[in-house]
Amino acid sequence: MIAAQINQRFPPPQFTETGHQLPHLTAPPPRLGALDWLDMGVLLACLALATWLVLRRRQRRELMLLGLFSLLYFGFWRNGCVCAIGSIQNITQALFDSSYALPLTVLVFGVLPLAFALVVGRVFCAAVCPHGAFQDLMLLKPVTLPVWLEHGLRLLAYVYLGLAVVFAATGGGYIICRFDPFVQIFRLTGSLTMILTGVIFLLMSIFIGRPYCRFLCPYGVLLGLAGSVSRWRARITPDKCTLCRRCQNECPFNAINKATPRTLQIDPTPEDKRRLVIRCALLPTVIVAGLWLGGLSGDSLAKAHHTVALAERIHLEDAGAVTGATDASNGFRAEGTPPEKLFAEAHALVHRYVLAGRLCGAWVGLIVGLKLIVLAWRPRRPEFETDAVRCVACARCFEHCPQEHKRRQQKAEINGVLAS
Amino acid sequence: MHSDADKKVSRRGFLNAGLVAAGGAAGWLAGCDQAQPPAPTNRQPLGKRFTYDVSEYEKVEPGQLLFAAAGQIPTGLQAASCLAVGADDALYVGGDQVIKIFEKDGRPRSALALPEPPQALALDKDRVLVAFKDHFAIFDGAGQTLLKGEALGPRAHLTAIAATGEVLFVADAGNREVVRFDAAGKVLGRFGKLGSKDGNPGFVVPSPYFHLMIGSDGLLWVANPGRHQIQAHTLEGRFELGWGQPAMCVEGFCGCCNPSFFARLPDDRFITSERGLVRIKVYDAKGKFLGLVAGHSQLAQNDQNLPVYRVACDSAGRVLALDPITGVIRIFVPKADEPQKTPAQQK
Amino acid sequence: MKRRAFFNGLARVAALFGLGGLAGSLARRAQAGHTVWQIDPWKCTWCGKCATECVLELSAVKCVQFYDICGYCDFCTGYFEPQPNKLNTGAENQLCPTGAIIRKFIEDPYYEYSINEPLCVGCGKCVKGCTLFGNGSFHLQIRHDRCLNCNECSIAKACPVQAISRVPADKPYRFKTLEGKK
Repeated sequence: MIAAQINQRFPPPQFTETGHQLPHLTAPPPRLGALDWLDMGVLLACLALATWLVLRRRQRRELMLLGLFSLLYFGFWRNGCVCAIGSIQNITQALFDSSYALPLTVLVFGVLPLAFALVVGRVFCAAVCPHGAFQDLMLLKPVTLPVWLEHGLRLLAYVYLGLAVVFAATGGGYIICRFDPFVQIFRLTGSLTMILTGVIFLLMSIFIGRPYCRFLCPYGVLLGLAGSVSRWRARITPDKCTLCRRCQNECPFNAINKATPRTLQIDPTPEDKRRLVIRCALLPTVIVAGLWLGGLSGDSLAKAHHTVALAERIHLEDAGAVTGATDASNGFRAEGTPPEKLFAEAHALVHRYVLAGRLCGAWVGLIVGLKLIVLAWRPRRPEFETDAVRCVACARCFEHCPQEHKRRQQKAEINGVLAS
Repeated sequence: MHSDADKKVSRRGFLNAGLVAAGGAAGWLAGCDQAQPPAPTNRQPLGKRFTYDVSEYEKVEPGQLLFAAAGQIPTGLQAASCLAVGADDALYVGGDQVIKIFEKDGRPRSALALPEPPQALALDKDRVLVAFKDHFAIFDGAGQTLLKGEALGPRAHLTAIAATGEVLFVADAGNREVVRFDAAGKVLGRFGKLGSKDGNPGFVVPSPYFHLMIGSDGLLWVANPGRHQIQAHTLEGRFELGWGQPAMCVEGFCGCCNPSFFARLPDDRFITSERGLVRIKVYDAKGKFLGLVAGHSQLAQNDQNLPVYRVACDSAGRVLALDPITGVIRIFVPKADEPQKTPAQQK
Repeated sequence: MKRRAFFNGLARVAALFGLGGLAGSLARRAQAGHTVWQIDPWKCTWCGKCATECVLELSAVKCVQFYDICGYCDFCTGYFEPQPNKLNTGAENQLCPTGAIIRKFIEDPYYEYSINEPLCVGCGKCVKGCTLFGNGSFHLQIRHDRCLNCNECSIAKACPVQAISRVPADKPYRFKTLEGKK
């Protein structure tokens, strides 16, 4: 280290004969910072437009056009980075690592869609997220998944969110970005595996509505939770529901809750009540199980961290269990840090991972437990309505609602009268 | 119509959902236990064509080793920079802002505090000559300043110093020349600059390694690293002769600029130190390759941060090599007479 | 239903409030100016991963020549094979597998070396040769005319010595300087 330092403090040769001047090293600048503000502006405008389209215009085609624009702008033009899904990790890292400078753009991309979702539901998913728009545009022959599969697979997103937060909080990396299936397609370059994964997701999207959004997207989890308490959100029809069921049949995302059949007994049966009680009692057990399992996985999760992996390698090398050296262990030895310091650091990290693993496990347990409770508890619904958590406000149900058709017809008539 | 059927299906659905969730969680954990999913790699590792490989030249034939390691002396310096051997075989090590003096068996003797980090060090009888970045100074054995030379300008980067009685030389790597001083510290002259018409082929100094010493033959020997030579000059600065060939193989001097340092054994053989391929070698007084003191595998601990050993010889024919990174002096003794280990020579 | 709407409203207000608080507290620390990825040349060990791990087909990492610390050697160990037949520009003597280094005679005995960036793949072979034997004026840097500035740099993740980190966009390069390592 010191040798290198001395090495560099040394003037270049003088070219006495030719008087040659040393050329300057070129340094192409990065993308203009002002364009960040453009991104934020476009995001806000798209969110506002999507809100207006979902709540007022109620036109699927217009929403699709907005989605296409988002796909082109945020996806292919901005190469999928900056993105709201990935921002979860930056924000988490900023919360846990005070030395990390969170870019303002990332903060805005993380917070703005959530704020919109709290008020008007998942309009971000509807037409602003390039990932969602991409899959939605591919959806040509939707098939309906069985309800149990739908619920089971949707849990994956909660696990994914938990793990992403664990890794971002502990410095283990950004798994959402690393395993994003579409970003490589947006960039039109990347590893073959990830491009193939993206293509598979897109092919799946032809039949299964938005597979990434529904079953994996960790940001979708947050938006869903936010959407569940939203004030205004996509309503299938502002008029009286005729219980025709067409909207439910047409929704490719299993996001419409059916109206309670009129024939059904109004009060829950004792069996229903018993089940609810059992599942409520089950909740703590599931959480504790998650906590325990998560704690067990802490050691293996920690291996994702560079320091832990390096410490393990150095330990194995020193113990003579492996021969040779990796680039990392070579570099570490060249740096000259005592291995004890590395081991202590790695040890502390493993502890953090065990704690984080426990919390993540408890989170998954909580979600599983709550899911069981929610599934056992069926409130009375007088009409078909969009599910506050799952609905991505794609506006398909509007198109198929006979009441909506009636409304549009009346509106057209009124407009015709006014025009004449 | 759909009340009971729906209910049943849903109930089974709940159970299934729970099972899927539990299975998913268990599978995930099991997967974690196997290994972390590797980051998707863009391409295969680069081929051999894209790897800089000089391992072939790092190999040492055992028969060529003329010296054997005989212990080390840790100096405790953070930034060790120079090494010299005194008349009584005491070791003078410069670094940080001090010169530490060790007995020949490694016991610390004393230390001289310096005003700034030393760049080079030499001994002339009991006078300690120290080169700093742009000037030199002479101290007596107690650390009192006897003489302070003038500063040689902003480009100066002194890397070696030597003196005999009335004349003193410093090697200025920054200006690519050798500067002669008289006993009073006045500049007598400079020589060796490229393109000067003094019959000197000129020093090519691409990096701050530019060593010189005065031999027992009364000549000033200067390393010309850019030409891979060690060159002799009269004490007036007239070029006499030079020897050395650029080559990666063991007989030559490797890289773009070597030898970095050299010293002479009591029998006038040369000891040279190279960087890049870290090796300390023995040449006879005429420059014929004889063998190695130590090779790359013995001298370099890793592939990235390679030490440039400062070398010196004592009257017993031992070779002392200072590792500037670790601040350790490594001792090598001729193989013919095996080492007589003293207790203070620590491993 | 009314009660439910009330609780929903309460939760919504609380969540909005919390979200605002989070955003506010983070915004105080957030940077208006963005950051970009860059290699610390003092940590870099020229492992070659820069050439293979970048999401771009041709890596955003290139070798750069910092002329101020170059020795202008005739026998440049970053330009020539370890044991070249001759010190000339013959392809068989060149170290660079893609021939991306340009050698230009300046005056005896000095030669200037520069990088033909479109050809450079960022493998770091010349960087190793230059740094081991020479002054280390060749070093690897992320070129921002190419870098996509991914949220997680895949080279940074793969770097065995964690030499890549984010730097402020107004100082997007970490060239080796005359002053040496900080």
